[in-house]
Amino acid sequence: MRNELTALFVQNASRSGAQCIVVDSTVQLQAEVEGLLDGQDAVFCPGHTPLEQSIVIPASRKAADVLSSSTTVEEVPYGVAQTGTIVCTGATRSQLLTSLLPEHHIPLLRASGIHETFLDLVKTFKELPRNITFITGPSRTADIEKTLVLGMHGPRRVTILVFLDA
Amino acid sequence: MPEQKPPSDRRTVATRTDTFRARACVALNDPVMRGALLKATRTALAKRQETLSRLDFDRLRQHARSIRLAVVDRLSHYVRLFSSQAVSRGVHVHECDTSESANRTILQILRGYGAARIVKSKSMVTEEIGLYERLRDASFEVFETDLGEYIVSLAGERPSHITAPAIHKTRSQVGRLFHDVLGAPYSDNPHELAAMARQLLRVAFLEAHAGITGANFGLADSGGIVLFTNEGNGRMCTVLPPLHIAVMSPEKIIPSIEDLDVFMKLLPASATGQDLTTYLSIIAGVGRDPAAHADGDMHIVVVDNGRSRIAHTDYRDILTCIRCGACMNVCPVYTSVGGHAYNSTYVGPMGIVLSILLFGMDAHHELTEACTLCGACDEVCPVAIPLSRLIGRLRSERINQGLIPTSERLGMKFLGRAFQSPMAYRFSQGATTSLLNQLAPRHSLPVILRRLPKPLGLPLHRIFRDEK
Repeated sequence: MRNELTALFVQNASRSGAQCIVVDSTVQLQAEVEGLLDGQDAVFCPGHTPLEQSIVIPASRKAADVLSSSTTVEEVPYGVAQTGTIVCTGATRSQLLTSLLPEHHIPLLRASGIHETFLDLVKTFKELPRNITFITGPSRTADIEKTLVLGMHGPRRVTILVFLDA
Repeated sequence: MPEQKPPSDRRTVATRTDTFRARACVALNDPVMRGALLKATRTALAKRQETLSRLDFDRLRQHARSIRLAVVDRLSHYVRLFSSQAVSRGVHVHECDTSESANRTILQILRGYGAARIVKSKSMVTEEIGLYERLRDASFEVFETDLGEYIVSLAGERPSHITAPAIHKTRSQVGRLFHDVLGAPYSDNPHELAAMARQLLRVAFLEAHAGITGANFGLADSGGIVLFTNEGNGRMCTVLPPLHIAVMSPEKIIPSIEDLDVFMKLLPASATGQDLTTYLSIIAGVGRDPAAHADGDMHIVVVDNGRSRIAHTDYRDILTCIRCGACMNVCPVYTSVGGHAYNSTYVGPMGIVLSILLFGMDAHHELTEACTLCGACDEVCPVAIPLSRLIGRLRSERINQGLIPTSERLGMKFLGRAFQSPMAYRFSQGATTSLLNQLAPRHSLPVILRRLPKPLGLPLHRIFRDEK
């Protein structure tokens, strides 16, 4: 069941224009993150959760804060498989900006946080968080002649690392 | 960053001619605009069709309609519920009856915070109340941040579509506009043009004192507002500046977050043919923790502007509209003449109904002519509004109020008489048919008569009788 949900999530997230990589250990996670960064990146990772703390960013590429970063790596608590959506519930300014300002957003999502539908997820909330952001693919616009342009105001590129936990 | 010239008053372009027919004629003779419009509306419709084919559209839209009607029928109850919940979550709520009081309230809030630089995301109700112009007149620095809105604001125009404001413009027109107004090097590449706008607007976001947004929905049980966006400008406006003002009309409220499910499926599919927009934000209050207070203040301005009145009329269905724009994309009139011909904030089939109800029959009665009663809008509406029936009803009201030309009124009176007695009917049918038969081949006739289709040759009642 868990594997089916993950597969459905990956399929739909890819359809929305996000790239998905499934990993099953922190070693693999670190390797994939390193593979995604290129020489010019200024990377911000809040380092609040164990998963975020397991990632080592080389000192030369570390950004001091989200405003000066071009790439961010952060753990997001939930996913919705039916639409391939990642869900952020952090409500402070800096938590909200991490998925919004950079060119490249790299969310880390535990497979155990994936729910099948929006309603399945909503039912787990005891009280509504004060900010919930559902993100499906990269920022986009089609306002000029319906031509799809990625990265209008938010990230041009979204790479979701799905972590298979127990 | 190049110096930005202030756009001229947005109302001037659309009012260059004073009747719908005259504006429609101008539009019909603009092949560039019509080409851009047809291409864009056809693309949107094809994507909509593809996405909805995976859903049970009829079941979903009946469900959506029942949720919306339940709110419209108890509007003041839901507004009270919504407000009290929002207030309990630290939000300031202002209820305004008219557009004037809403504008005044918003100006007061901004002045109270000393906010002079403002970023705005796309919102129909702020268009309706003329907020952008009001802010500019009061010397605020305002940036529309949705790419389409940004383009029309630079051009000094108003949006011509509710979800795609610059739908009437080609890439080369946008390129020339950016070159002329922003001093940018000319390009007609949408990627380069979007990148230019991203760069300029990013600076505006970072320097803004306040962000103003609309709300696609309000959640009564939590006081939260819901924003659907693709570009991310809605999120920028709510997160970056220290003050967020959301402007919404009361009928946007739905009872709870569970009810959002059906609209998450219907709105993006109907508007752009997406399964879901890139961003869906639910903002339910500000931090109650004093340490998080630096995260900013939030105000919600609820603008009624006549809606409580409409909720008690035979036109209440129009208040269930979720502003997807599908009715315009499918409308044979809208797709031919474009949004500017309507000379109103709301255009296309939903715009005909809402413009007359909000702004008055006197101001917009001729829009009832912008309809063939084909019913295509009824079929695509995601909340099953009987648009063509409402437009038909407004047509009769227009006639009852004597707002049609004398020739039309006399003609209809004659027709009414002729249809009341079989003898008069037969006589007039016979006379008209023979007159048309006489006239048909003559090339000396005025163009309008020559364009008429060839008559059948026999009156209708004779054709029916002979077929029996």
